[in-house]
Amino acid sequence: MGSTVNQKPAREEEIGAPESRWKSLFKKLIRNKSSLIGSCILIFFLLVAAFAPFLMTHDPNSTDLLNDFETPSSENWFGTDHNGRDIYSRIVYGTHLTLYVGTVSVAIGAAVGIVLGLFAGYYGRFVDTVIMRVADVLLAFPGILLALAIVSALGASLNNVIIALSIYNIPVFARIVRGSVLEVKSVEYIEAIRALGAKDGKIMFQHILPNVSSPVIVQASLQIATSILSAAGLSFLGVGVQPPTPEWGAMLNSGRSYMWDSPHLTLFPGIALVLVVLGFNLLGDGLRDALDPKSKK
Amino acid sequence: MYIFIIRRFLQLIPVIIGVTLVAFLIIQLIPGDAAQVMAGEAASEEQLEQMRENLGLNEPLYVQYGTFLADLVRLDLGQSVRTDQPVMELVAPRFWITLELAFWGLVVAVVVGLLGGILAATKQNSYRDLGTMMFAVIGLSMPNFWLGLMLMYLFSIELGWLPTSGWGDWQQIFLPAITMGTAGAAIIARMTRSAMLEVLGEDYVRTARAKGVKERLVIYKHALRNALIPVVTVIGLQFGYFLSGAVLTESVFSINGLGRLVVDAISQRDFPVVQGTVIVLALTFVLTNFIVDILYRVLNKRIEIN
Repeated sequence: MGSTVNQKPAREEEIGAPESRWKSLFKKLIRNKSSLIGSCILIFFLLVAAFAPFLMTHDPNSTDLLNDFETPSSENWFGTDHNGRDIYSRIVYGTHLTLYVGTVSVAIGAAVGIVLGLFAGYYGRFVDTVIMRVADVLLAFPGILLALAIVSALGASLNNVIIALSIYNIPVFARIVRGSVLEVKSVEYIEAIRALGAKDGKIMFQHILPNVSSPVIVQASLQIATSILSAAGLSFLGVGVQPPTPEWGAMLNSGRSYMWDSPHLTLFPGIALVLVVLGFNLLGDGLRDALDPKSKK
Repeated sequence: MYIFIIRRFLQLIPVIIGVTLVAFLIIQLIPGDAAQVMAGEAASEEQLEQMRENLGLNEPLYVQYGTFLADLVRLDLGQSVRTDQPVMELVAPRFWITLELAFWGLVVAVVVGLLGGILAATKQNSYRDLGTMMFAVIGLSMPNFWLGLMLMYLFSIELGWLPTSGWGDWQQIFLPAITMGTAGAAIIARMTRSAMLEVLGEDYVRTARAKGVKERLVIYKHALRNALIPVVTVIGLQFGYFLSGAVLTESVFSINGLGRLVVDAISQRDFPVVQGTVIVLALTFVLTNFIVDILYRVLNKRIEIN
């Protein structure tokens, strides 16, 4: 209790001055090794995705059966696959797909999850019970099982993978936001605004939401990593993005049949996948250290 | 304690019902005519009608779900539309294989994870700590199916030490277990490290050290014991995730478990089998979490009393 006096200015700064808050976050992120390395990896892949047309040395889908299973050379940097396609160009082209699936499914899942979490935490009682029980049910399907079930019914395609992974992401965010709302809801400042007659919607989205954003941002980064792995897993099982699309998981799936003689078909897409996921995980770890004062002692 | 168990069990019921509802809806989610999708393009009108009749697709939705639930209570998961075998007969033998696989994966995860976590925490911010944590975050970022392929290439194809696929021999356990366990080991190592660091800063550890208790004893008797409590929860959760991770691992190593069953069923559009497998995996996960919750409670109680 004795520390309330000290806490107040900190909280006011948090709520009242968004610019300085972003600036200090940025500084913390640069100083943190995890997030610095993670950001560098992600910026690299963003650039690859953006400038893919200039970076590709071959058409990613043009087959050349006379030059199949070529090992890496100066002509084909990562070698060629079973159809003689240039693996390097396919990986470069596939970068935007991987980033797209990960970010879009998390964006949709987070948007819906945040709203549901806000409602559950703010209104409590019946609304809370219903929303959180549904979340419990969705969370009862471990890992990619829920996405697998949804995609199996809807059919294998890029959009259905995104739908499935978005649904998979919803309860994760709903739960986190609800928890944070319960912490923030009874803070004096929120009570004061309510006493002044602010509407529920305004309180939730303008005053509570900014205060629960930290855990959401951290989770979003980690969840993109998980979603990318899940999407690749679905493609690997043959129920996700279909060949000949140069999606990394699908490339691994078609390459696995040739493991015996041509392991480079599976080596390079896998390394690309590890690096991207590592980038998001490191960024998430760094964000957590920077945003959560409890974890940094 | 008993009240806690009963209350926690009652909370399970809506979740279990929800799980069955989601599994039931898989067939309803199929765009277009589900019977047509399952029977294939070439099916005649009679065949389609037969399919609808068998699956009860002509009934109103609530009747269908009611029948589905009633069958489920009698442990009847329906019939495969491909082989006409009862789904239960397909699922049961494979369930044990997946469970066994998940168990060995967990063994790898726990042994490597605990060791890594302790190694890192006992020398905080050293190169040992940094290295272990770097391995952990890479392990966490690796798709397990890719790791499996790489292990297979190295140990089976290049070195010829271990078989590439199959299940049943003791030699066939290693690669799938490492494949499954790596991500879990990474999570457990990180968790153990932070739990240990927290405990090592506690007063009673300082007291023990001040008393002149040997460092080894401080770490293993005083610190690790208490640090393990939150770790147990993570371990329990991991077991559940391994059940779904098995889908990919089984596919890599051609292991005939539930994971392969569900993937094959999806490619053959055999939806009753998909539903049955999904229900079994999800319910196992739910029950594992229930047991872990109680275990956590028991462990915590003992500490409180002591």
